[in-house]
Amino acid sequence: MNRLQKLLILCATFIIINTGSVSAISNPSEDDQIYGFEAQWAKQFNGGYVTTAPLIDNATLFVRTSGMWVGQERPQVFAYELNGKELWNHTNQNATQHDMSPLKIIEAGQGFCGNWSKQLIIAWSDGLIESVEPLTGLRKWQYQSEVNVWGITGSSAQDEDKLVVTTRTGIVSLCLADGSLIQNATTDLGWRNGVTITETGYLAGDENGTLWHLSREGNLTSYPLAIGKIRHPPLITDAGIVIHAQGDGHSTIALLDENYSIINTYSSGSSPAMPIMIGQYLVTGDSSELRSFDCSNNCSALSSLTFTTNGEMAMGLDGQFMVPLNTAQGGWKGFTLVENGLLEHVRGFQPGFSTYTTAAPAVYSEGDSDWLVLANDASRMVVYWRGLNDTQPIEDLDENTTANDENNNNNQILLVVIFSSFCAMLFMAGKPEQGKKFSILLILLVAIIAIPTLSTQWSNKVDDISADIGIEDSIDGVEGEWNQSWPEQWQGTQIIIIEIDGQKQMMGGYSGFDNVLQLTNQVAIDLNISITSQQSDIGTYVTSFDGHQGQGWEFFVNGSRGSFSADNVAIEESTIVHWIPA
Amino acid sequence: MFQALGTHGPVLSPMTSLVLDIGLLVAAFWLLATPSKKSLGDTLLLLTLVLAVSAARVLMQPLPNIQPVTVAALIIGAQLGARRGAAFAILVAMISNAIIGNGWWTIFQAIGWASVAVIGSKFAIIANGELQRNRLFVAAIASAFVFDLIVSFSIIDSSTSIVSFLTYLAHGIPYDLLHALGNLTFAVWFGSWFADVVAEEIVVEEVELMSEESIIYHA
Repeated sequence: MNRLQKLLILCATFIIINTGSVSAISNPSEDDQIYGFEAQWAKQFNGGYVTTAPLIDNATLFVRTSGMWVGQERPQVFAYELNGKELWNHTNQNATQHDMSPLKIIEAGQGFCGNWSKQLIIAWSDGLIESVEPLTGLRKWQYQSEVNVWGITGSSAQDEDKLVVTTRTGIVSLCLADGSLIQNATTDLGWRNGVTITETGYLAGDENGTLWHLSREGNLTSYPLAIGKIRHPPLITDAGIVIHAQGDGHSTIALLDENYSIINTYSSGSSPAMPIMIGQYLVTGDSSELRSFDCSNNCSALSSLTFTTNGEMAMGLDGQFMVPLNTAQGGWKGFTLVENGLLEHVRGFQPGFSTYTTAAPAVYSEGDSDWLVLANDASRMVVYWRGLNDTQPIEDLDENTTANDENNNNNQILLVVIFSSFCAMLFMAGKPEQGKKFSILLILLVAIIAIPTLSTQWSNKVDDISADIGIEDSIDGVEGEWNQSWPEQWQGTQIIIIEIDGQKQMMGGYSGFDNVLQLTNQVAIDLNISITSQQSDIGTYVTSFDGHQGQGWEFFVNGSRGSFSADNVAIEESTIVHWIPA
Repeated sequence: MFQALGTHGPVLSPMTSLVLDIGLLVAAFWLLATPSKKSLGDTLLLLTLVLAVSAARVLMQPLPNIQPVTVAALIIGAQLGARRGAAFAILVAMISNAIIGNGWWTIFQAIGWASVAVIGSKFAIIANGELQRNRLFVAAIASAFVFDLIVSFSIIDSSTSIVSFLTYLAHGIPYDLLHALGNLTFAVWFGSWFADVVAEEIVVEEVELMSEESIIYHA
C-alpha cells in the first residue's frame, strides 16, 4: 500500500466521522397537523437556535440560524422554495455572538444615490452587512461595521433610498444602490436595539438606557431615560413613543412625548419581549405576562394574561397575532384583541416538538394557499400549508434530501462493519501486518465515535466516587440543592443561577440540554443576558456575562465546582447550575 | 497583566498575549540559533515541517484529542535532536493556536510538546539510523499522558486544591487514552515514513554541505 492510498483512507475516515454535523431535511410526522394546517416538510438545522422569524417573500422562504460562535458549526442563512428545495445558503465563519438581526427584503427602487434591484439584507454578529440577490444569494454589496465583542444584533429599516442599521456602536445609513456609507453616528453600545424611522430621523436605544435620535442632517442627540436596557426598535404610537426597557428582575414600559421625556411608566415582569402595535393597541410581553394597552391617547393598560414570552411577536393568519411561549413546553399561542383591546387567547400551535421558543412565525398567502412556518430554539423548522382545495402543493420531496440524523449513525455503523470485514480479510489472506494496521485504525475510529458517551459516563462515575468519599469542592452561597422558595414547576428540571454584581438571576423549568454551555446559552437568550466566551483546545470558557468580566467566571453543578469547560460538563434532567464570579 | 484570573487559568490581556507570543518566538529562535548556526536548507526543512504539522493539527481539530503534533515532535526530537525538536514544538503550538485559539494554554502546550521532543531525543527511538518501531510505539503512548499532564497544569490557580486537580485529571482519562490511541495509530501508519522524510532531508543536506566544503578545499 503506497502513501497516497494511506492518505486517501485517512481522509475518507475523517470525512465520514464528520458527517454527524450534516443538517437534514425530513418528512415531518403525521402528528404535525394543526388547525387545518398540514406539515409539508421539516428541516433540522445543525446545532444552535432559530431565534429570528423566518421570512417568506414571493414564495421564497428565508431563515437564519444563530448561537454558534463556538464549536464547529457556524450560523447560516438559507433560502428555500416553498416545496423544500434549497436555493442557496450562506455561512458566516466569523460569528461572535447570537445572529438575530431580522432578515429584511428591500423592493427594487430608485433614489438620489442610485437605482437598486430587489435585495435581501443580512446583518451578522461580526458586523458585516450584506445585500444579496434573493433567489441566488449572490452578493450585491457589503459594508463592514464596527465590532465590539459582537457586531449587529438589531433590526434594520429602510428610509427611502437608504438602509439604516443599528450597529454595535452606533447608527449607520447606507445607500441601497451600492452600500456606500452615507451616515455613521457613534452611540453607546447596543444589543438587539433595532432602529425606527421617524419623520425627523432615526431612533435607537442602547444598553445604558439612553435613547438616541439621529437626524437626517447628521445631528445626534441623546436622551438618558434610566429605565433599563433598550433592546427593541422604539415604537411610534398616536400617544407617543413607547419603549419596553429591561431592568434588573423587572421591566418598564414607558411612554415618551415628542421631546423624548417620559410621560408615564408601567412596571412589568423581567426579560421583555419585543413589543408590537396592532392598530391602536400596544402588546407587550415578558417572563410574567402578556399585556395590551390602548395607545390612541395615553397608552392606558387594558388587560393582561399570564404568559412567558421573551422574543418576537408577529401578526399571524386569521386576524391573530402569534406569540412564542418561552418555556420547556414551547410552541406558539394565537391571540386576538377583542372589543376594546382586551386580550383573548384563541388557540395554541404546538407542533410535534417541544422546546423553548423565541422566534415569531412566518406567514404567507398566495392564491388559495396559506403557509405557516414555525421554527424554534432547537433549530427545527416545520413548514405548514392549508388550502381551499385538497390538492397537496408538494407531491414529493427531493429524495436526495430526505436523509436525517439516523443516516449519520447508519454511516458510522456501515463504516465500522466495512472496516472490520476488511481487517478480517487481510488476516485471512496472510497479511497480518496490514491487518494490524487497519485494526488499529478501526479501534481508533470506534473510540472516536464512542468517546462522547464514554466520557460522560466516566465523568458521572468520577463524580459519584468523589461524592462517596466525601470530596466536596463547593463554596458558601452556591446553590446546590432544591430551594423551597423556587416555583414548584421547576422541580426535577434544569435550573440555572447567574450571579451578576451580587444579583442572582435565575431560571428553571428547562429540560433536554446536554451540557452546561448549552443550558447557559439558552438562559442567556431568555434573560437577555449577553455572553462572551473563549474557545480553547480543551473547550469553551465563558469569560463574561453582560459585559461583566471581573476576575473570571466559574460554575458549579449541583454544588460541585465544574471540572471542565462548560461545553464538556454533561448535565442531567434534574440539575442546578450556578455561575458566580471567580 | 492578566485581565482576569479564573479556574481555567488567567484570561490574558492583549499586551500580555503579545509578550507571551514574543517570548515563545524568542525561545524558539534561541533553540534554533544555538549552539551552531544552521544552514538555510536546514531551517527551511524545519519550517516546512512546522507548517505541515500545524495544518494537520488544525484539520484534525474536530476529532477529540487526536494530536498529530505529539508523534511528529517525538520523531523530530529523535531525528534532529532536542533543541530543534523543542523549537518545532513551540512554533507548531503558536501557529496552530493562532487559528484554533490562543491563550494561557499555549505556553503549556508548547512546553508539553517540547518535553515530548526531548523524550524523543533521549529514548533511542532512532538507533544506528534505523527507527526502532517498538520503542516509538511505547514512547508515543507515554507521550500522550506526559503532554496531557503538562497541559492540565494550565488550570491551576490559587483556588485549585490538590483534590480538585486530581479530580480534574480523573475526568480527563478517557481523552488521555484517546490521545494515546491516536498517537499509536499515527506511529503505526506514518512513523517510518515520517522518520524517513526527516532523515532523507538531512542526508541530502549533509551531502550538499560536504560537496561545498570539497569545492572550497580544492579551490
